[in-house]
Amino acid sequence: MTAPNVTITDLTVTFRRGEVRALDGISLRLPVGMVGLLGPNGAGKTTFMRVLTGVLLPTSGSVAVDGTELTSRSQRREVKATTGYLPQELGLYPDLTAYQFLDYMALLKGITDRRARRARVKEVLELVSLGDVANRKVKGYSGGMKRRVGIAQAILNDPRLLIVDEPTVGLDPEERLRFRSLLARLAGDRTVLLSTHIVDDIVQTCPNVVVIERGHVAFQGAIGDLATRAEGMVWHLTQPATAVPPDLPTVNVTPSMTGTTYRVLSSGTPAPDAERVSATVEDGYIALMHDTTPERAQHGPDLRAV
Amino acid sequence: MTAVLERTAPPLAARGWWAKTVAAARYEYLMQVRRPAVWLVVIGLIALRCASPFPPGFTSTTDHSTLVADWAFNFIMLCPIGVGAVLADRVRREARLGLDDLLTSTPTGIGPRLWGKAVGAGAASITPVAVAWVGLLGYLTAQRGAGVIPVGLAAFAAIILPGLVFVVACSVTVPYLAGPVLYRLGLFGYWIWGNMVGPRYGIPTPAGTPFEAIGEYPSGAWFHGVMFDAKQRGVHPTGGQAVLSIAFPLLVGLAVLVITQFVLTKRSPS
Repeated sequence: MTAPNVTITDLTVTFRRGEVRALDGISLRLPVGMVGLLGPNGAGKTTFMRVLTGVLLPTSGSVAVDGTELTSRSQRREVKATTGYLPQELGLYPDLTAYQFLDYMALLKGITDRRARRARVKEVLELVSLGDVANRKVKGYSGGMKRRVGIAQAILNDPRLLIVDEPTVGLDPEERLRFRSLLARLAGDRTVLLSTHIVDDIVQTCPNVVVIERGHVAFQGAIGDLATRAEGMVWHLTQPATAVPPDLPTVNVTPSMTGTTYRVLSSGTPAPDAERVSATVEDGYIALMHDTTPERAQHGPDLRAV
Repeated sequence: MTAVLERTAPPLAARGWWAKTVAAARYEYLMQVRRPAVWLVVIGLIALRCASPFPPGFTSTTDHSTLVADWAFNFIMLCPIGVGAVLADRVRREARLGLDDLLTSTPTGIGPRLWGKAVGAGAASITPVAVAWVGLLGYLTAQRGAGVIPVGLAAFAAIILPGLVFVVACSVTVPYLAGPVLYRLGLFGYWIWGNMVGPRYGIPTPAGTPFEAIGEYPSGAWFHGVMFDAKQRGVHPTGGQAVLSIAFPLLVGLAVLVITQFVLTKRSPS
């Protein structure tokens, strides 16, 4: 299996008869391995992923997977057969067991040979550590277990392109780490597009990142280059707890006995006693969010080949 | 990747329509038949009607055909309303459960899922009727002998099933347009008007014609069962009219499903 060549060209999606432009002329090419997708709420990440999975048709522009554009129904089905999707709002049939649900999904994904399907379902159940509870109804599962059923169905058809939308929302830290590591293992020679609000998830797993804001690509490139965007602009500023917070983009706030320390972004020294610190990916992301307009979409170096 | 997952068979994007439909039907059946409401509502309506069976005194007849036909008439009078009511909320279930995107992202179109739902959930909703009918046949067999069984099965197929199939087809399609609550009200109104409000009320109605769904024509033509609205219309149904009376609800049900599949396919990207 080789990773797919996913090319997105001038992709535009509008809603309400053109009043809302969810995606506005996005063009990029997804590299092999894990690609992080970052952006604020309402930026268009989920819309972007729904178009890639063929769930939503674009208003204009094109998506091509190995040269097959998702224009006709038959072409979309061809691409869907080798695509896995874990949607943000994951629904399951509560009255089915995990095994039954996965068996059903495997059939819908085209694995019609019974013996092969059974083997596959057992394999993915073991992979997500649900083999022991496979015959329990899904409605008795915890949030993390349901998410694992979600990823299991996404990989049933051995997808070359795996698209996961906010997979770690609502998971406890340990479950989140397990999930992250599972996705990293799955990446291998396939393309995994991981959308999340949690910058740390992307830092730990994705060599490349795409940032979408207001329907535009605000950044695409290597994860390290996103951090570089804030280099020299990150300051620790400590003020008395009663003082007015600084009017600057703030990455985080740490209260202490001596006052409150603000991690802020500023191109100049924000205060005489401010201390410059090295930039992280989160700093780079916040810098981008406070500095991006559609007219000045910023691109890092090309997405790194993996 | 092969270290993580071994591919067992290449997925088929377009083939396997039957396998997918059968799978959808199987799981829809499993999910629907487990619902207590399906059993309570359908059996409850059958019990309500059969508590005072119509016409009075038919249970003492010695003719097996008449006996089972009249029992079938009692079954079909109210239970389709229950079958339709418990099916109506299955239509938008995927949307309610947040499964739409997941299902649309598979290479399977709307067809296998719609037909699977109609066959599977429909069969599950008819299961209480069938179980009650089998129970009744068991009782009648104990009283009258095994001769009741073949006639009873034929009466089920000819009198009860066509109307139920029609209601099933409507109940997994029309609620897409009307929503389950409005559909249930509409079904109740239609069933009473279209099958029980006869010409004696002076209201235009299919009741008593071959286009009703209550099985009067096959009952009268083949089983010497009770005739109600058809009798008021002065009809003595022939075998051909009985066939028409069975074919009409089945064909309308088929048409409703095909049209719904066409419309949903046009609207869906999958």
